[in-house]
Amino acid sequence: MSRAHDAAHANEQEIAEELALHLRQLEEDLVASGMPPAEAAAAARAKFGNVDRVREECAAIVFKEARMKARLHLALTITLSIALCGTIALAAFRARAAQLAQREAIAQAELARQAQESARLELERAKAMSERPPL
Amino acid sequence: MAKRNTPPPPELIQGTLEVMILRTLSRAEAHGYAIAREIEKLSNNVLAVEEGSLYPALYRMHKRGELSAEWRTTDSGRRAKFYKVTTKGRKRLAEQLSMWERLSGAVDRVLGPTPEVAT
Repeated sequence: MSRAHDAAHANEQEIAEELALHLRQLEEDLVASGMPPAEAAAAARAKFGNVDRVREECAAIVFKEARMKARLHLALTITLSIALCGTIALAAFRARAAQLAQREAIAQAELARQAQESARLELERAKAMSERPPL
Repeated sequence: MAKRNTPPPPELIQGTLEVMILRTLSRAEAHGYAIAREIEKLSNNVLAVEEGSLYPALYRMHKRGELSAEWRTTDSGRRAKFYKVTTKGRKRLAEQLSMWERLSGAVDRVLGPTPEVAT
C-alpha cells in the first residue's frame, strides 16, 4: 500500500509542477508581448482558470485507479493473513492431535506389555506348580 | 466556445477539445503549453477555451492509452511533460475525423442554400 501511496504522491507533485510550468510560460509570453509584469501574473491566472480545481480534477483521474489498487492490495493482504493464520492453527491442531495419539499408543503398548508380563508370570507359576512333586 | 457567457454543452467542448489535441499531437509531440498555443493559433484565436481544461483532457486521454507522456528537458532547459499520440490515439483520431466529416457534411446540406421546391 505504501508503494501505491508513494506513486500517488509523486504524481500529485508532477501535476502541480506541470500546471505551474504552464502558468509561468503564459506569464512570460504576456510580458514578452508587452504586458506590464505586475499585471501578467493575474492575467495568466485568468486565462488558465482555477488552478486548484484543475489540479484536483487531474488527481482524481490519476488516483481513481491507484486508490482502487491500494484497496485491492489491502483486501488481498487481509485475506492472505487470515488464510496463513488458519493454516498455522490447523497445523498446530494436527501436531497436537498426533502427539496425543502417540501418547495413547505408548500407553496402550505399556498396558499390552504389562498384560504380557503378567501372563508370563502366570505361566511360570503354573509350570512351577506342575513340576512340583506330588505330595 | 469563444464567448464565456454562452458556453456550449460540456460534452461538445470535451469531445472537440480531445480531437483537437489528437490532431495537434499527430503532427509533433508537445507539452501542454505548446498544445494550447497551437490550438489557439490554428483556430485564429476563436477557440480560446480556459487553458486549464486542457489538462484534465490530457490526463483522461493518457489514462485511456491514447497518449503517452514523458518528462524531458525543453530547449530552454526546463523540465516539461511531453505528450505523444499512441497507435490507439491515431485510431481514435481517424474515427473522429471521419465522423466529423459526415456530421459537417450533413449540417452543411441542412443549413446550405434552400433547394428549389418542385411544383
